[in-house]
Amino acid sequence: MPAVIDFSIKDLICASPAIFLFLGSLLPLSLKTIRGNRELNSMVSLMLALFGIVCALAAAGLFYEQQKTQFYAFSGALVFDGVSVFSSMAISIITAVAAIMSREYKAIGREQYSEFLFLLLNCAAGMMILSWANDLIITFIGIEIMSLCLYLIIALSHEERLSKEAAFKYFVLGGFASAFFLYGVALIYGISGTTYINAFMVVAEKLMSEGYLFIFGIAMVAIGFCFKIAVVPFHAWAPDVYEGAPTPVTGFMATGVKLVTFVAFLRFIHGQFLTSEATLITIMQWLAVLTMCLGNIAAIVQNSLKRMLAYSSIAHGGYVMVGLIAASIGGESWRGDLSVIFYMVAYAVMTFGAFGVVCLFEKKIGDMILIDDLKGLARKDATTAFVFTIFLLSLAGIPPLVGFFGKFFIFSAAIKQGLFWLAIWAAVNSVISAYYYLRPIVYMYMKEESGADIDRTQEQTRGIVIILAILVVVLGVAAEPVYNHIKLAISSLQ
Amino acid sequence: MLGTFLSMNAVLFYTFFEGSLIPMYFMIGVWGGARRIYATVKFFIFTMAGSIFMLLGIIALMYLTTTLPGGQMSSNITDFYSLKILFVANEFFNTQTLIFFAFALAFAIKVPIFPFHTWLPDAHVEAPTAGSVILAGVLLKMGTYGFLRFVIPLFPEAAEQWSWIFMLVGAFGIIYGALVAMVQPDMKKLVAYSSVSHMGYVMIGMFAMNVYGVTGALYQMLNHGISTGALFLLVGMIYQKTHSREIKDYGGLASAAPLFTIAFIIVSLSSIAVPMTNGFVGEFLILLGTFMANKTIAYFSVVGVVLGAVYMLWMIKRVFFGEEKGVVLEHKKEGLDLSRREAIILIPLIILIFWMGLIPNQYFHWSKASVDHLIKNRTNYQLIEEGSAHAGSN
Repeated sequence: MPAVIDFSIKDLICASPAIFLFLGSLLPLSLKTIRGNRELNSMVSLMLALFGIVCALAAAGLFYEQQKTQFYAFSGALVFDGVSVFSSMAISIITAVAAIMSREYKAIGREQYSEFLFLLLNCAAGMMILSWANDLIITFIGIEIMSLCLYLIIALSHEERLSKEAAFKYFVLGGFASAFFLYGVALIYGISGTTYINAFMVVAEKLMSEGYLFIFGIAMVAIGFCFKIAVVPFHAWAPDVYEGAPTPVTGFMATGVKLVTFVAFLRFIHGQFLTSEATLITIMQWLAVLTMCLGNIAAIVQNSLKRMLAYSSIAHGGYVMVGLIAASIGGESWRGDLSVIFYMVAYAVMTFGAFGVVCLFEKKIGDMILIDDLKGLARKDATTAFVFTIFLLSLAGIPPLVGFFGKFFIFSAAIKQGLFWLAIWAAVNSVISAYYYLRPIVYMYMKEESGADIDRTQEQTRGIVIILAILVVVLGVAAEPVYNHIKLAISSLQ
Repeated sequence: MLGTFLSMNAVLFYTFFEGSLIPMYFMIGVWGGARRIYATVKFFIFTMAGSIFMLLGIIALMYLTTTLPGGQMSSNITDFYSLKILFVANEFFNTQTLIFFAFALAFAIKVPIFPFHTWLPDAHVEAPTAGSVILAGVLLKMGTYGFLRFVIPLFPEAAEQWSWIFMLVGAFGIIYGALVAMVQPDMKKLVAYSSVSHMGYVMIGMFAMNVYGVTGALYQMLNHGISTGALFLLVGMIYQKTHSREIKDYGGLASAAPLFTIAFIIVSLSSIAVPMTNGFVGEFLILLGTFMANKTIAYFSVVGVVLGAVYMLWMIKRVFFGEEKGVVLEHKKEGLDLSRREAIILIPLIILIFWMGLIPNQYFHWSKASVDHLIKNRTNYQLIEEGSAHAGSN
């Protein structure tokens, strides 16, 4: 490793999206402090925060052309390639959606909105760092920045019991995950003498043949990641936390956190050093199968809409695991990588949309939305019912919506790598999932009684949800251009 | 749905194949009868369970295309046709057999053939009339079309080896469908089970894999669309007036609604396959083809013809003849016969029934090229690069 600290202005330029997010996060909060701790008009706060996010997005977009080459910044601790650019842009957009949705959300949009924005944008900055990290220590720092902000955001809400319980649960289990992760990093460093992913990757195969300690370290790090993406059996926190957190934050966690963690996991695993380690691959396959099955079967029996979506989110994590495993086995592995990234984009759009619809139903703090509340929605509000139907069908993987193409690429990657049984398990699971995704549709369109009304005051949330639904359709129909963009981004990941 | 029959790209085909589920799902679910939710969810889950495995099959084929000259991955069906897929006789776990069954399962559920048929009566009974007609006329044909377009030409050896399963299941479906139809108290359900029985004929015809069988199967697909579609229309028309589909509620309808009776009997005769109607031509060819391929199956299938006559005629006797009773008396004053609008719908169908029954040669001429192509492929064990895509226009 380079012992000399070389530091150039180019490093800073590359890292500018995260810096912009950080600066943007300070604006609303410092204005509030200057005004003597009086809350700003929430619209002004939102605009200031969005200004930061747009700057970050633009800064990330500037590198779009250069994404074919890898660039190591800050002495090789951060890596900037197509995937970095892609995930920075995705994070910016997801953050903007979460910020806009939460302004109208009762539990967070009022007194503490500027604090919320500060935490949200810092969380996003942490995510970016996580998705760029080449050094496992930096990965850890990214995870911690992200998670600490999230614990606070969840606990910040006025929802009394549930959100505090969720925050605490997430905090304790997140602490465990961090411990596992660090333990793994320590072992890897002890054996290989480096924490740089690209450095120990080269010698990994030799080290693995020499002793089990290195494999143990790899497994520990993988467990740390698995906690964050709620892979069974490390999923126990997810349903409670997703249910307890304010709904826009749930959407943010389910999409943003999963996306970056998968990106980081992909960076860690794509070196194909696992090819020789068949046991580890087998274990991961079974974890993926368990995740899909448990997520889907548990989702069937849920009555709370949010909890159902939480379990469905776990199940989708399982599908992505299939892609990830395909990526970690040798051969022309970019297909696996590509399917993971494509699926995460598809998943982010449709899941955030679905949680957005749940938002629309929550009229007062602490409202719990049951699937029964959806009864007869189609007659009262045809647009919302239609939009929600699009999200659910896409989650179920019905063509020509984007969710189908996500699954298609995942299945392709799995079959390409000869993981036939895994592909069959995934197929069986998508049939199971169709059952519970159809249930809300049945309630909305085919029940006579009428359930809850939606909250008409959340106009912007409604607008965003509709835009997301259009995206689901457009990305589905135009899957090929998206595919090519992601292919370009992936090409720099060796 | 139209897209399903036109697409030459497998992924596009799948998209249409699945996409056609959604409108059907809502049609049954929103405008259907009392148990519509059960029926529609069952329909959706069944068909999706089948097609998702076909998706895996399609992906597997796409990877196989990389072995073709050029090495590009392709989802074009014509490229699929030029594949030579590894086949090992008398073994289940080889590439061709597995992909064959992945495709066959999807289409078998859609057709539907015997063990997978249970969604059909539910869906039919609960669907509104228009939904039933589309189900019978178009959706079921997607299954049989799939067999002709994909399963047999793509996997000739596997289809050859495993054809006995489909013949057996088809023959079983004929008899089973007919027997169950016989005891149905509900007219619509009776027609639905007769559908199962008819699709059994189509299956054995296709898997007889000779010119007669395949031509007959193609012909029977058309017939089934016309006669079963017309039967559903007729049942829907009378239901609109009397609000009952129970056979026992009817009696003596013939004197109350003479035109309706005539139309119903003509369509039924076509469904039974009486000579001069289209049904006869199709079933005769299928049975001829089957007899040449496998005599035992043909014997059993012939029993189905008799049973078909039994359940249709028995229903006609109970509904149209005898004393006027039940709903017929109640609604007699309002006029039960065909209105002009209904007559206009039915006349073209009845003309078609006789036209196709008396002058089938024109249709055979149209279908000859495709069928010859299919059979030639099979007998030579050779897959021809062009596919049978434009054979229809020859």
